[in-house]
Amino acid sequence: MANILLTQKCIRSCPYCFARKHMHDAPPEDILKWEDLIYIVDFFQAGGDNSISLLGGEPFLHPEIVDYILYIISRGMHVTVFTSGVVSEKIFAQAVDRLADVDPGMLSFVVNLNNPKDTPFSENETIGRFMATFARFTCLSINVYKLKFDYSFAVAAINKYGLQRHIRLGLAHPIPGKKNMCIKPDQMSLMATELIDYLPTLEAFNIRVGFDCGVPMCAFTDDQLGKLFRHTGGMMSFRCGSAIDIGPDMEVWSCFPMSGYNKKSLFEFKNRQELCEYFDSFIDTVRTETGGMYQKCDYCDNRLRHLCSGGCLSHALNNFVNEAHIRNENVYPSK
Amino acid sequence: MSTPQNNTPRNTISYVCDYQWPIEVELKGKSLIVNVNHVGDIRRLNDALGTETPVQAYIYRDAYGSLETLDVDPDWGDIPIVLYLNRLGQFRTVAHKVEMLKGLNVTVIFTGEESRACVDAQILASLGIHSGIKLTPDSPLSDSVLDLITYNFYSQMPHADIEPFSTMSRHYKGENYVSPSLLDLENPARYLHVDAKHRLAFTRDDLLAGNVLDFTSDDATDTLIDDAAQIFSRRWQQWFVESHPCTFCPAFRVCKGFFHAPEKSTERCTEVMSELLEAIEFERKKCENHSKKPCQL
Ligand code: SF4
Ligand code: SF4
Ligand code: SF4
Repeated sequence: MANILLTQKCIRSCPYCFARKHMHDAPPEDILKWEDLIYIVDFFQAGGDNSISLLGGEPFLHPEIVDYILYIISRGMHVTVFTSGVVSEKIFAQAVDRLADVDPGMLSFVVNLNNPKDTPFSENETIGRFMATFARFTCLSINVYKLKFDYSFAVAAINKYGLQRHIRLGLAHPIPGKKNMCIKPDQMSLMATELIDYLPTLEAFNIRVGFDCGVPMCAFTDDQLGKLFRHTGGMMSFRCGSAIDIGPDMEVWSCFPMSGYNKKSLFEFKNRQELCEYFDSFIDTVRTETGGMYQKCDYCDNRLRHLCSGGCLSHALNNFVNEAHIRNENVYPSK
Repeated sequence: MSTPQNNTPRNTISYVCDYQWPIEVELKGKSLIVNVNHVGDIRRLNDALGTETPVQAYIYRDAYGSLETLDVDPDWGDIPIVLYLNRLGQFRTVAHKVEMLKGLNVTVIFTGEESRACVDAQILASLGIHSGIKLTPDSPLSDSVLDLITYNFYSQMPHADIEPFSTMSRHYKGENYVSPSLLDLENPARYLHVDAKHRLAFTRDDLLAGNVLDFTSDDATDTLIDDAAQIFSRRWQQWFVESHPCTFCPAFRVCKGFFHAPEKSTERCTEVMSELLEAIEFERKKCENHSKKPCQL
């Protein structure tokens, strides 16, 4: 699945943001052009994909996002837009006018919601307006970036706006060599216990969580895994995903935490298969240096049986940054 | 829009005319290409002409209009229509017309600012709608044109034809000469431009300038047209005699001096048209290898 960054600009400043490096490095006029959008859609459709994600920065800062969404749908592909819900009046009016009638089978919004207590009032108003208007297209995504995380704001938003009763739960990952807020490897079990303790509340409101990539399986006890299994109907994953991120300048990398590594231009690849092979081989290189985020990952049965990928690679890469550079050169950020 | 090959028999000649005089009566029974002033005229006129006067295409031009604001009539059905429009407009407004356009026999040629026109043509072609850009002797031939050529000939994904490249490619046989002017219906083997006085010329410019043939549409015969066509064709052959700079250009086969102007550098046109020639040759070889029939529009 391709993730297209329509722009690297964002007007928010989330403490856990794993894309922050991109936001800061991006020139302000850096937005994806039409001809590049067509190239990307061709590239991935020819490779057999039938869905594309649009993200940013904040994708709704792109002046033609509504046009781009409708174009991709006209090409017969499903579009998922990852947004903060902070959308300007002008673009919001366009979205209401042109997207409200789209088949929900072709369009989804994932609103990345932060605790309203930590969000300015005017932003909360704008986000609320977005969620109320596009409720039938929208599910929530929350990023757990600290212990004692308060999940109740997500439940409140789902109930208030009638959103889809599903939460994408992501763990904030470190940006190797940078300081963003995230759950440290030794905090994973506490995070897991807090989540499991909150499951009954979620279930009382018929809300299910699903994990984003990079959650370590051993954060949970067997008993907790049983509860998770029941909660998700067995649909839980502890895998490192293989999404491909494409920047507005057509640079491509395997996922945000990896954005400082092995960047290429999409034009350097003949097809999707060649692209995926390139990044799979990069990840294999890193994996030969480390099994995962813990030393015990190297010999972990769960990893060998492909039940867990060993958490997000960014934790391991983050460690490499601070040690003597004696490993395969690919595991260090590009200069 | 289909512009047939140079060896097309004479009896397929089409008369290019403006719908400003009673063509239903005065050109009855002839094969026509009709320039209309209003899109609303197309269906009415088509009904009036019936099957007795076959129309190869209705052409509508709006130098300032966009596809966004154009009233596309779902009842156009199979009627062949070429729309010359300034630009696409906002895709969000055009999106709901896409499925309808795909079901019609419409070609949309963009005439506005070059790089915008190239993007607009690519958007429509990628959605399966026959499209194109209008090249003129003054076209800047920016990198957008090169990108569009690349997209038309080398893209892995199926898409609709993009003019004038596709028509030029279809007509190019390796030894003959073609030019972007094919889109202006300049092809003596196939088109005669006719005015209200029934005067004839092989190009619209000639007709408007009064450089007309010495016979009219009323007394035109295959032989007269043949002879006149040969004289017309020798116009550019004369360039070789005069050692015109364009005849030394590697891209002359696909340009015939279309972009030539006195005092104008030939560097850019040579570069772009040479790329086009290479792309056309590439497609020809691909078709030969796959023994594919050329697409019939
Ligand atoms: S390294 Fe793996 S787990 Fe981490 S963000 Fe990338 S895909 Fe997800
Ligand atoms: S692979 Fe690593 S993170 Fe996953 S369960 Fe095993 S030890 Fe834990
Ligand atoms: S120099 Fe070549 S490309 Fe330029 S106008 Fe003459 S024939 Fe055409």
